[in-house]
Amino acid sequence: MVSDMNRMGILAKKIGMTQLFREDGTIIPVTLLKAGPCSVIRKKEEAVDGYNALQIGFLDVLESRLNKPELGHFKKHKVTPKKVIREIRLDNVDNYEVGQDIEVDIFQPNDYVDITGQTIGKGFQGVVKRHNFSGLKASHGHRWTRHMGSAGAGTNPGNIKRGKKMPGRMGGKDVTVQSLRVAHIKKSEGLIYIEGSVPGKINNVVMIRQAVKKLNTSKKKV
Amino acid sequence: MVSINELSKFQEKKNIPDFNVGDTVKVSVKIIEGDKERSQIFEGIVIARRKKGIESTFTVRKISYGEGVERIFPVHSPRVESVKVIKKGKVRRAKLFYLRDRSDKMGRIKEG
Repeated sequence: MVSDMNRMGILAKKIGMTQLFREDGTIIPVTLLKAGPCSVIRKKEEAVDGYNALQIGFLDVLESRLNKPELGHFKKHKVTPKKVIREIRLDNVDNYEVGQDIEVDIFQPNDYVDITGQTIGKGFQGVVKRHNFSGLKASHGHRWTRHMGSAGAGTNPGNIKRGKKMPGRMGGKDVTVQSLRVAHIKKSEGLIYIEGSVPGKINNVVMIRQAVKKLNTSKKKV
Repeated sequence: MVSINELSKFQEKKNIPDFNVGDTVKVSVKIIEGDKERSQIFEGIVIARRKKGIESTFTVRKISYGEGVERIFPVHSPRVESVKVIKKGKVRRAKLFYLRDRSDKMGRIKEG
């Protein structure tokens, strides 16, 4: 297991899905991501900030799109304004300089990564879709098929248990998918091919980080 | 932005044999049994081609011991070693799914 505080990462934009072949001919579904370049906006150091971290920015943005405090932050550290800013906690940030670009080559094919992104918003959904309830019977005198059944007992206890699964907003929240394999990398174009699917729609910005639960040891190619 | 098809092109085969729907073909498929490798031939009529970059496939139909058998091959798969055209067929449709409802004799295709 890798320390949660020391996992290098990069921001990426989802391009879409396609497929690749392994050497033995098996087809693997892959998600294409345009990762980086992410520039280091600011270094946080233990002496000053209490912990070590890198603040990285992704995608250029027009200065006129930012307000004065935002623009001031970029001006102070003399870096080009970026649309998305994220922080990565690291044990040691001495190897990084402000303004340095982080490229996709921090990962290798066959590495395992965790990907965090916002899932597709589904709106207000019922319990069948949202919580995989079975719903009620279709016949035998039943009138509603997609209801949730009972929400709890009666006068005693007189309330509904907190956290009871009910209809409501579904999707549109940050989710991390763990231990996805890197199938292929194209360094020149900053492309990373991830085996399997990744949260969100096309053009969604996601965070790719070294996997928590899997060590990156193998260096085999696809 | 480049299309996704462009970005998976590096795995596509350079020389795809020239064959069309209606052709009778001999497909040589690599089969892995344990650690042994051998080739198997599947011969039949191409009844469909799906052209989608690396996801391209073609469907071959043959009659095996009186039973219709269809197999879908990915065009760019490393397991598909070769596709040889034995007979050119003359057809007026892109997908020959109607052959499924025809008897052996009725399902013949004109040469051309």
